[in-house]
Amino acid sequence: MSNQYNKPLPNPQRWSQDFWKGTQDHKFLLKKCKECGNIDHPPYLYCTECMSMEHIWVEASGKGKIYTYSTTYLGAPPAFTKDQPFTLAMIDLAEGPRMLSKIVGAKAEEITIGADVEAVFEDVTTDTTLVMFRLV
Amino acid sequence: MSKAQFAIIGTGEVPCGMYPDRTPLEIASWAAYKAIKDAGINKNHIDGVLGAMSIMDNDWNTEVTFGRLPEALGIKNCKTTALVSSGGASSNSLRKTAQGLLLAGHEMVLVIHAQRFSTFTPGQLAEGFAKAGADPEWEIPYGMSFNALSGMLAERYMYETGTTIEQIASVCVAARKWALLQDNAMNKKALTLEQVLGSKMISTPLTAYMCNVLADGGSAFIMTTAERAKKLVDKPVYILGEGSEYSHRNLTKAKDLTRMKAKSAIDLAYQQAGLGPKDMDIAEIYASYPMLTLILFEEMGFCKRGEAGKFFMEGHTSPGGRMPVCTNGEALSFGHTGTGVGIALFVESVRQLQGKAGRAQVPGARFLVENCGGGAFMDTHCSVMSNQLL
Ligand SMILES: [Zn+2]
Repeated sequence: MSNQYNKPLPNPQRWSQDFWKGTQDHKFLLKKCKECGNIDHPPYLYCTECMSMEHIWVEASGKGKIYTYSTTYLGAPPAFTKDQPFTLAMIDLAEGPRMLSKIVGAKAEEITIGADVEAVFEDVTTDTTLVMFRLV
Repeated sequence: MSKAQFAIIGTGEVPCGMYPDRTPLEIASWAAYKAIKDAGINKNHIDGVLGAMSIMDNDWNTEVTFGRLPEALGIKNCKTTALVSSGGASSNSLRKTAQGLLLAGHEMVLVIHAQRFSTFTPGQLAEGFAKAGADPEWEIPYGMSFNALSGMLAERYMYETGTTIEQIASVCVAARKWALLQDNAMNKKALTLEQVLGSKMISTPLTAYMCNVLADGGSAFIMTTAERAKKLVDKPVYILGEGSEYSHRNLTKAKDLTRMKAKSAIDLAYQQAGLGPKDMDIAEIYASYPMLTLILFEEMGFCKRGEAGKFFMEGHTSPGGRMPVCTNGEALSFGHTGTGVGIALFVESVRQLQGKAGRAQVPGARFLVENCGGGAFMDTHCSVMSNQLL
């Protein structure tokens, strides 16, 4: 945790505030439609399959697989320059949705497509926690 | 049997590169002047003027929105002017709007793109482009950039098809060979496979020469109905078929990340034209990153899935090859002018079919397939064009 965190922070929509409240409690929540069971991540106002407004937040297992990844050595957005190299990846969550995140605690050469990963919570400021992943 | 409704009768273009002293209005004025002179028409017969939305330059967008272009260009009988775009897909969205105006009774529509990037700092550009390509809530907080996004796409495409990084690099080499034949191209030095592979790693597996460079530039074209075009110029270029598909905003939401529904847009364009890949003399592919050139070349039906890399590596798409691709050098070598890359390729398509492509001319080109797309690979728009009606 740092008071000098100068990277861009998520600016939640009204319908995603519960997700970000969840990450602060180290809970990884997904928005599931009560009507048809569809999980929307990112969430939107209504279920993008059936338009139902009725939903519940389900806790994700945090398990997933790397669908693809890229390690950035140069040219990252200015606030991330000194973190280079860092690896971003698309994670196929066990619950279905695919999300973008960062792989932490691994060397670039250890990261492969298909690798199993699990969610970790990074408290980047006192108000914001990001979901990241590590190899298992 | 294709019944073309629309045709292009003239094009104009300015040199692409770093020209901080050249204002967007100057770019737009020259591009328009050249297009009008190229078509050989009376400027006062133009009654619609469309400007492409610029990336990051809100002042220029405001100027276009507030009607600067018809006044500056002396389009005395202008009925409609507008700022139009959908990211890099603007060559298509502009054209769709132009077609709408022509269907609504306009006579001729002038479409203009102008972009100046060189007055922004590298930091502003890196930040601006990261923001444009990525989701502010779900991606930007992680450090997402356009190059990382493209690296992920390249990594997955290589994984699925066995395409090698050398093969991906060969796309950049071919693009440079074409750019060397283009007077308006930004990059004027030959490029080898070793240079592409040996340049600095940006975001794996993409090296510096695999990532496009932002540049100042602009181009223009004049569109009218096929009927009118025949009476106005010797060699109009007809749009024989068109298809479009939207895939996603965030690349994570693409149903098939390494194909992005491109094929259904391409097939619709072929189908409307009554033609197929075997009939095409040239493919003008807007990709901006080399793995996407390969993906789209395969989706266009010129190679089986996973075989485009070998085809490029063997030189078949380079000048003198049997299937020329990206004859202006595309974003990778002509220069990336933001929303203008697709328009530049469209203008080059028209030049090739009019026999006006100079040193890059593909002899006897009759049929051509062209695509553009925008956002973070969000969509595909495909056209089949020809200098003759079928
Ligand atoms: Zn639903």
